Amino acid sequence: MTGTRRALSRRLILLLALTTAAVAALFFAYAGVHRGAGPVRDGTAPAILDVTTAQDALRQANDAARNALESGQSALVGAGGGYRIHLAVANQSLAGAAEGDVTGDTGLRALQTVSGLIVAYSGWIERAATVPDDSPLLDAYLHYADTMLNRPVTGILARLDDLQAGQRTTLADQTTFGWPGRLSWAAALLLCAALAGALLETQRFLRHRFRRRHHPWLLGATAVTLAAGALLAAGTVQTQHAKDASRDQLAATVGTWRSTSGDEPTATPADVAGAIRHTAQEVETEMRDTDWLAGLTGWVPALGPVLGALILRGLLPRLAEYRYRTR
Amino acid sequence: MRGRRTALAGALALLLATAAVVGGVVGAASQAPTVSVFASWTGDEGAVFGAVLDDFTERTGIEVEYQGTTAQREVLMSQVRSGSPPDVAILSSPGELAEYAARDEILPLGAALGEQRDAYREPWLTPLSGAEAADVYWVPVKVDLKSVVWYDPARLSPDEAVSLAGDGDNWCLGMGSDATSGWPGTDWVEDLLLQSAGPDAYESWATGTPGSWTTEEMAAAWRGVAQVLTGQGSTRATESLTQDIGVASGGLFAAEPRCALDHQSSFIRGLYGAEAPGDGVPEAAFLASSTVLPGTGGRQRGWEVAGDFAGMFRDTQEARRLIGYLASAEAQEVWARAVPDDVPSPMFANSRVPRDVYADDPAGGAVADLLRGPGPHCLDASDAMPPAMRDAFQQAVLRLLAAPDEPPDGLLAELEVARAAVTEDGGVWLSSVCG
Repeated sequence: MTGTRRALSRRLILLLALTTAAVAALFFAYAGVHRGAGPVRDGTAPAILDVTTAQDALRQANDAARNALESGQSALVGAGGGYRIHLAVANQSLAGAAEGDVTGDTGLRALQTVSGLIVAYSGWIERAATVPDDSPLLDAYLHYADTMLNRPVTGILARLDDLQAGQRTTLADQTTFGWPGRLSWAAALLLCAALAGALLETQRFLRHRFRRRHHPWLLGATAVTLAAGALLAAGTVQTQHAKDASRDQLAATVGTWRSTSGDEPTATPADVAGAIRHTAQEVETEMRDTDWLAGLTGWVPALGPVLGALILRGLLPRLAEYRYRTR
Repeated sequence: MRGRRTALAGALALLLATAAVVGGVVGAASQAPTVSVFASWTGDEGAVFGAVLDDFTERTGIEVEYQGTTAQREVLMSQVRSGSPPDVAILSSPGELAEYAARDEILPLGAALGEQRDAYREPWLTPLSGAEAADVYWVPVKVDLKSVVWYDPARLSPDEAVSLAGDGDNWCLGMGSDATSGWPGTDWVEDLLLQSAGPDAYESWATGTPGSWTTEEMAAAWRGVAQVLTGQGSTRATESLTQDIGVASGGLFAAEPRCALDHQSSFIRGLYGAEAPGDGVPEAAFLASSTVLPGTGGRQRGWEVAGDFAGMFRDTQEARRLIGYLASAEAQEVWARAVPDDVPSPMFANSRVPRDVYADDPAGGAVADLLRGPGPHCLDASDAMPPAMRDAFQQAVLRLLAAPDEPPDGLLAELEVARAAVTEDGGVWLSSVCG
């Protein structure tokens, strides 16, 4: 085998190897960023909002029950319709959070614990509704219900805070462009650049050895490499932006809920309800726009055969041509 | 030369591709064996128990997933019914464990306990009525002594403490305990019955004997509780309804004490530091409850005791190892030593736990001696009863405290009806509670 033919063969092998590596790297980098988009929209974000909804509903249920039972009308209204409605909202929201299954077994156990605590909590409220307005037991039962709800660390609201902290950790994992994503993309872009560079160098080599100015197949492969790299990088930027926006929006909503308590509340239950609705819509919209970008993930591997075909189509005739000359 | 360059480029490409794959795919970490545990300890108690579980993980490589709550019945039942119970649950109520055992939802501990079983005696390992003689379904991993009255020895001599018992305002008393609010009141009734009527009457009642709620001895015990707490015109009974136990007992050592006598389980010493001036938990002293409570003749006829009992809900290798570990003297010694120096030691029923774990805790050592002494020791009756009966008992005590001047006979008649109904509904009563 002559030196030129050997050089051509080596270039062909290198280009195919770089193509394989670059496409694989692009696939993993792109899939890595887009993999979290669906779970954020369909699981994590709704689950976080469900927990905040449940917390808000439980606090409102407690206020409603206390108002009804201390109104002197408890013989007629019991714990009141408001209490029952808010409690139903809380239970439905917790069921929704459980469906999201964001934090695995630990989260499900925490939800089971909270559900059990709510049963015990509502038991005290129901008992309070059965005693006369002037009985010391009324205050006692309301006190037990109140501590079950509000006790630091072990109360229902505190446990939901813990659960939500776990959900937000998961959200951060799903939405943060951390070192794995950066490493993937750095490697993918470097490999795309290396492939494009190798393609250009091959064209220069061919121009020198075969005295042809243009090699359209190899030019096509170069263009496809650069375009695919650019398109997928732009899609990643857009998806990452949507994730960041969703995460920030969810944090703001949780902050609004927290602002309803403390010594000087700065938000009302109506603010919380509004923030939850707004955030749910925003996250849905932001993340829906990334759907088609996520759909491209499955097409990335197809770049391999396309680039391979272009490279082979560009180099094989030259190899054949050289074989004919050396005979 | 070119060949080397090509090979180098190929190797570099491979390296970058590998980096991309490593970066893009979050490697599935190897899954360590895990055991899930459910108990009531939270806060500081939960942290100390966490140290014991850490030691277990260090010894065995088995990770532990711990969940603590006071709403044990509601939470555990929902987990069991939904088919996802914890591997091990530690409950204060053998009556509740008996209910699970009767439905075959917990498993016998014979194999898990092994030789640890010999370190425990009655009433701690009471076999389930009707079960195979060798089967035990729970083992106490931590215990407490209840028939005691705590006071501050820096303020009072024992005689002075006794002399204060007739004034209700001198008693630290709080019923608030979240899901289980009311239990401190049941302890008063139980101990007064045990000291006044004796262990046989106590055991007969705690094991569901018909008519045991409406005996004269029982009525006297309820009247005795009301009498102590309303002594000298005190309203302590009613005040206790909206007082949390931690706050109430914390008043014993507050900078300005709110009470002088605390009829409480030995674990309460861990809460005495909450309002005490200075760091750490102050040294408390105790008297046998019969020397303070009325109607006992000053004779200690038994010791009411309670425990945290571990039951196994899933028969896994990890669960067996955890049960065996928690029941062992080694684990309980770790537990005792994991408690900060200025916090009282926990108590254990395992006779092999060395006495020197209480070397720096004279009151703890004295409690441990009583727990290991001749007895008789009787399990907390409400803990031993079927949960529905226990709940009715707690509610009745709250009603007594809300109206302490009213005779208890109506309440007791209702409780007797409840006992019959619970029994008819298949409620499981232990065969014995004293030993």
